[in-house]
Amino acid sequence: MAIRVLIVDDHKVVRKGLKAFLLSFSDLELVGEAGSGDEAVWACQQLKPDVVLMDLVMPGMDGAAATAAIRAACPHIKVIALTSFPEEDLVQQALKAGAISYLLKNVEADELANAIRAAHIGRSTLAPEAAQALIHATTRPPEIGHDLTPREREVLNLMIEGLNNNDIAGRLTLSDSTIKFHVSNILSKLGADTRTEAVAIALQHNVVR
Amino acid sequence: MMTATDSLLAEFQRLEDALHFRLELEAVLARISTSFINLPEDEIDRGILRALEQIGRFAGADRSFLAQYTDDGLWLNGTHEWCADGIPPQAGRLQKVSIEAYPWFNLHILRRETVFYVPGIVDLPPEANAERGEFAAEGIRSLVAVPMESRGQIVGFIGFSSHSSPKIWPDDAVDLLRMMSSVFVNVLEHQRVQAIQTGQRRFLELLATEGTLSETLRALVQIIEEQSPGMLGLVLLLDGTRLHLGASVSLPQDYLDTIEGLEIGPLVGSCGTAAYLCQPVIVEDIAQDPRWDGLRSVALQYGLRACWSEPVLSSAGDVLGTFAMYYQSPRSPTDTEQRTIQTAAHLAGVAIEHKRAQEALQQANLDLERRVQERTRELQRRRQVAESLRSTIAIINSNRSLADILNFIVAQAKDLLMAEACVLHSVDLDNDSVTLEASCGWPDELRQPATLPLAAPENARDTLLLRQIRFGNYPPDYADQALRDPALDPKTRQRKAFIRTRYAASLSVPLVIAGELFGSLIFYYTVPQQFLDEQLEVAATFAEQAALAIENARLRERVQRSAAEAERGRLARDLHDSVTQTLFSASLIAEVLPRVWQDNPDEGRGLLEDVRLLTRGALAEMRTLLLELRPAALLQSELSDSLRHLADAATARAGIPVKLEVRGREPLPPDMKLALYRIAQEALNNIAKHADAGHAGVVLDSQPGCGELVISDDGCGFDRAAVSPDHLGLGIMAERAQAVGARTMIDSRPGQGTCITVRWSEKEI
Repeated sequence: MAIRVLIVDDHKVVRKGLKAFLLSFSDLELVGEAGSGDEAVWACQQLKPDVVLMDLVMPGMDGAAATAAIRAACPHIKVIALTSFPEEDLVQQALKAGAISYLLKNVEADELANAIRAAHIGRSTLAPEAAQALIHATTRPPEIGHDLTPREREVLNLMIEGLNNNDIAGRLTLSDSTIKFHVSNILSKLGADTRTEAVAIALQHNVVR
Repeated sequence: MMTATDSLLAEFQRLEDALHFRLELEAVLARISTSFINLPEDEIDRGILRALEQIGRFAGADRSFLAQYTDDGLWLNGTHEWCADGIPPQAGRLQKVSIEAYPWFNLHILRRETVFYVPGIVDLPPEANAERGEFAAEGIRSLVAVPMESRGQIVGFIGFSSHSSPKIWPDDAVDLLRMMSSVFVNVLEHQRVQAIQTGQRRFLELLATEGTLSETLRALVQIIEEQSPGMLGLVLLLDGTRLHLGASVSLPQDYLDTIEGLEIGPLVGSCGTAAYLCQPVIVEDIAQDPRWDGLRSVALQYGLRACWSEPVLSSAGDVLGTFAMYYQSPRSPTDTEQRTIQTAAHLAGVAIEHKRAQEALQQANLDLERRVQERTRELQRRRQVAESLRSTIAIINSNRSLADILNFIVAQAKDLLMAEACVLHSVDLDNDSVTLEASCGWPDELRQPATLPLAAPENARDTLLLRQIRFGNYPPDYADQALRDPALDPKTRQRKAFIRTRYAASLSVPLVIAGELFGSLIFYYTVPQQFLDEQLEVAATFAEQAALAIENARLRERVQRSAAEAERGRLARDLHDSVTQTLFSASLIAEVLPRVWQDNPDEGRGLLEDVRLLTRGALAEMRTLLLELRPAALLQSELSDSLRHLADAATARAGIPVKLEVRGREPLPPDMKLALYRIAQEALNNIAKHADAGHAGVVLDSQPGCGELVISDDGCGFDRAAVSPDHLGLGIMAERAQAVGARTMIDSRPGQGTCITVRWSEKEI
């Protein structure tokens, strides 16, 4: 019995290529196609495919969110992320959402066919670039300002607007001393000696927004 | 018998008359004495006149009068006079009459043992010739004069004269007159004491009021002089070892000028010696006294003959100066005069200490006031600085450009430091040049050229190479110095000389940002400045804050630049993604094409056509990608060519034909080209991604003065009311068009396709 495959991609051109690809393998069967995350979730419930080829970057509900929704509703459906981006956060998001494999859109037809077959029996395939990104993620130092609390980020935003403690306290309806406390935490977390320096560091490293 | 009895009777009658007269005179004198009790000071003279009249009338005298010797005993003055009807007053003749004029008479009086009593002037002895002549001139037929004695000194006399006929005064009447004289003495003494008290009161009032030291001392001298006729008072103040004028009323100015700054010593006149020895010095005769050897001729030149000087002491016993009494004839002081001079010196001491304390207090108050003012000014200045820094910090985080921020800084700094002009140069040490970045109050003719040799700004070397604050007022030949400066080129010389002629002072502050020299702030002033520490501090603080502002502005520009780069990067990535999708699809199809062809040749031919379209689209997309990576290329190429690539790429991606039509070919300005390209790109992206169209088209019609760009499709369309401007990049399209003066019209309805029109005309641009 052929493996039932659903293709999800917002690019028509990609869907066209994938259709031609599935047509040429007798053990793979195209059961449907979707142009967005929402369509994909709906199609899975209707068509019950074995494997989904899922694009990640799409307008509206993106691939990772759609994967999570599909896995939640139909845990037996295997989702293969198929994207042109090897970025670390995308890889992590997709795997966290429950994708079994992560492939890039430079994959050859046979490799892609093998990955679908492997996924069908519960085995992962990772593109080398994706594997590399995962390794890098575990060895990289944390970003500046990663440890700021939401409130501290809020205060930092107002510091960047040029408000003084008093004004910030008024804006957030907090006491001056609380703001002072937050500001001193922000300075120490950003490794800054002065407010201005903190603002400069925040702007330079895109700590906020 | 009769004769005896008669004579006895006559004798009895005479005695009875005399007794009667004496009793009545006693009653008159008692009345007079009582009348003087509690008589106010200003009534005393009138009281004396009344008393003279009463005695005169009672005794049948034609004239009664009172005369007083001056304190030195050398002169006589008639002070009070009563005359019977028809008797001419004589007081006018008795003013400042030397005792030498009538030695016989005065000796009698001054010897006090004698009551001068001349029943008839014909009885005068031969040595009284002068007196006889005077009495004859006044028409005096007889005279009785009773000396007035006070504390052992004869101070004057009272006289009663008869002019119509000689008058005989009984002896006991004369005794009573002697008693009367002591009443007058008491009254006069009382008057004098009261006058002294009044004087002291006046003096104390002056002390307490805001009069200066010299005003107060002058009043003291005046008061003492009033009480001591013929005396010339002088207060000298000791400063180190020299005496300076404190106060004088009657001494000749030339004399005062001569002794001004007198060095004290053991034999330096009366005052110099008194101050030196810290003892009273009484010089009875300047002409004789060895202590006046050095100053004698000057004193004599101004008729000064006696000088008594009392040191003026502080409460601690230090010599503050001297109080001196000068007389125009040789004499020594009476006891009264000694007391007066001591009192005067004491009062002078009180005045000096009091006024100096008062002046010190005033000075302290003034100092305090000045310090309060200075402090207030400083606080104001600080507040101003703080406000200025606050606004500087606020603008750090505003979205202004670096140029705006620099302009803001110089304007603020100029006001803050009250300069006429403030300029900000950046420096390029590699090229030894500075560039004018911002200025305020700077003359137009000095703004160009913006880039100048390093040595052009005032104190450039010190400020820019040594990073030091430099300030100063320009010396008179400073402009000429610039004209002769061999280190400058002729243009810079002229320029510098012009600046130095126009301004009088400048203050240069280096601007160091994160350890690196950015340039300098220079303040120019048209009037010479004091350059207080506070001012320099403000300048330095402001420069630091300005440096921070600049640093932040640069940082922000970098962030913005990197944001722009990120935007470009995103576009490039999107395109790259797009090319990747297309190529991925093409290569997948190409890979499986042989197998499909084997099974179904018709299907294979269709796939082959797909591969052809896809690769052609990928090529077009590669071109647009290149344009993104080199924005200049986009501006240089024809808009119609760039649009052709966009249309081809869209054809491949959307899998539908996108037709490009170019009507007018009027060249467009670069920013217009860029805006139109971006709008077309966004619109075609939307078509490829969302429109699900069968056909799409792009029309570019560029005519002289106007034109339009239309991108349309026959796809699904959308409900404008349900789509926010952010979605589909519609807002950005409108903004882009607006930025180049064009208008966007978006026409779309669900199921009816979409048409985006961008229109521009010169009138609107």
